[in-house]
Amino acid sequence: MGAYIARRIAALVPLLLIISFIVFSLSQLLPGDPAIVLAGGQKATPAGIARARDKLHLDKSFVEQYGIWVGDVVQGDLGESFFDHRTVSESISSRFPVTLSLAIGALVLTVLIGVPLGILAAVRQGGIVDRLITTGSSVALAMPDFWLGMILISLFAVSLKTLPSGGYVGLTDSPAGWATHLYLPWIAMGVPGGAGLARQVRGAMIDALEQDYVRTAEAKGLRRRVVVFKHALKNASLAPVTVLGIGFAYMLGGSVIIERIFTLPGMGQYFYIALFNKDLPVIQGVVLLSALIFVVLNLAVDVLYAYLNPKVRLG
Amino acid sequence: MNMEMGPAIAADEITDDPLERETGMGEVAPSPWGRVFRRFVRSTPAMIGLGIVVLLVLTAVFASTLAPCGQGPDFPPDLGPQAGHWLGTNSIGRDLLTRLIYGARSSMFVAFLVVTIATSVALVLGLVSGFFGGWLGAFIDRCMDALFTFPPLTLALAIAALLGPSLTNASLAIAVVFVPGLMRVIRSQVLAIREETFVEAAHSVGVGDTRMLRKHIFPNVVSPVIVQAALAFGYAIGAEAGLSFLGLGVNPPTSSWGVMLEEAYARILESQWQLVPPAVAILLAILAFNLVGDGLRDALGRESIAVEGS
Repeated sequence: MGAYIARRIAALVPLLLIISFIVFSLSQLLPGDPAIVLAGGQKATPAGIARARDKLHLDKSFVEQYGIWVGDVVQGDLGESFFDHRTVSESISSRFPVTLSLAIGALVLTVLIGVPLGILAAVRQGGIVDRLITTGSSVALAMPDFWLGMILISLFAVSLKTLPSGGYVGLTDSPAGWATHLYLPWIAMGVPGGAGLARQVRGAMIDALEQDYVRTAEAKGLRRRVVVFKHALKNASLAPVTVLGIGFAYMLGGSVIIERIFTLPGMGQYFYIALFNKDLPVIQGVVLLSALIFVVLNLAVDVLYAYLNPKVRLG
Repeated sequence: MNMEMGPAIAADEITDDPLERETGMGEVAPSPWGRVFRRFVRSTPAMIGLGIVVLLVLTAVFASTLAPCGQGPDFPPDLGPQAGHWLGTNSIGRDLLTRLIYGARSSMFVAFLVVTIATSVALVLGLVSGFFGGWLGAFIDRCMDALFTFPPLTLALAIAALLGPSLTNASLAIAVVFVPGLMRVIRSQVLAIREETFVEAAHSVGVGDTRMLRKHIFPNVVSPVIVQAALAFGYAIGAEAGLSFLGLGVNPPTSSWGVMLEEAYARILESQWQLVPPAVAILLAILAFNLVGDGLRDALGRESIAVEGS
């Protein structure tokens, strides 16, 4: 097990290098001189620009700049915003709980919707229930999360006035207020997520239910419920769990529009503001962090799987 | 239950025959593409999807002819649906039906550009990595793994914002995030084909790399690419709406369903109903491409090898 984890972590080194290179290269997309942005845009003085060039190491070569940037990042220094001049890591960590609340709730809802519906559709494959679930999931998959978010605001906040249209209350301040403000964003992210997961679970369960061990289990007289939940589900969970891990990582790093329409002060909103200011360190910081979250979660899923399934570990 | 898959395929094969006789094509050995076409046409959801797609494309192409009014803010603001303005007007007096029709043009333009760029790049990378492998293949694979770690929307937003808002930049940004997924599908297909007996046979009679790629590998990669491209169309429409919603897609006077959503959202208390037209358009468009993609996948499913040589 230890050897497996070591092998997996070693394999991450080239991946992390390429990720960091892509993130750093985003600076090359910026038309014009980042030093002018940092020095105040239109109001920039030549002296200010010179200071900014020096601070951003713009006189050094691209490779040297990359080296300096990676060196800082490894020490947890993502630079500071061109605008509010707070460090990016500080701003992100103060906003991360909001995004985490959003993503965890959405993940829970995704599982609550996707797993039962996926199993039900697989067990009743070809029947009316299966067709309803498959059609429903096709429609739900055609709803982008921000699209659904706006429909929910329109229905529950504007027409029915039962839930707030936006804003955030900390979990420690008021658990009820926290949940009330997050129900709609959770649904907006959880329904399309659940639809996608249901399809995954359905496909994996149908494959598993065709296996010989399922026939054997049924032939020796085990109850259907035991066969479905114990024999088939366990073996069908690899692909859905991987997809779920990816989905959770994308929710943590990609909730920009949801946070904007529900005015949630999380990492996505911070990113959104930075996009309009062309606030390069913030953009790079958020993009890098969202990729790192993916890498870590993916590793966690793989390790969990290796732990549960010796075939993966030794194969 | 667990036996259903086997008989299901057999039953399907049997139903092929009467159909071929009905259409009078029984005598002619049907080409693989002919079989795919017939299977696709028989799927009701796929045909509904295709119908909507055709309507969308026609709307996008003939937008200026179909639009009932000019695009300018020439009318009283916030009119409700009425004769002359079937969907009413927005807060600055632009006709909403006209904007909806021109919005189809933005959506289709971006989706077409995204799919073309992403598919071409992914095809080259997938063929090189899958067929030649080696250090170059390994390097391409790692780069794709790295691109895959970024949440798609976040990376697309960063690229679009840094390049500056425009439809072309938005398309480039969305295309970048589509490449790794498409490339993986193509690569795994190439790897599977490479192990086929006909490839080994071709190799043993001295077929060179170029001819092998062109005549044997490429034709077998086409069908999964078509399926993925159709599905990518749907995602691209959603992504364009998202980018335009945030102000990183079209520039102001140009219409886009995402911009229409944003306008309606910004004034949701005053003119809630303005949300409906763009919302319905986005949902239908994505759903239509997904239905076509699913239909193609089902129709092509068992044809991936048989298509070879056609």
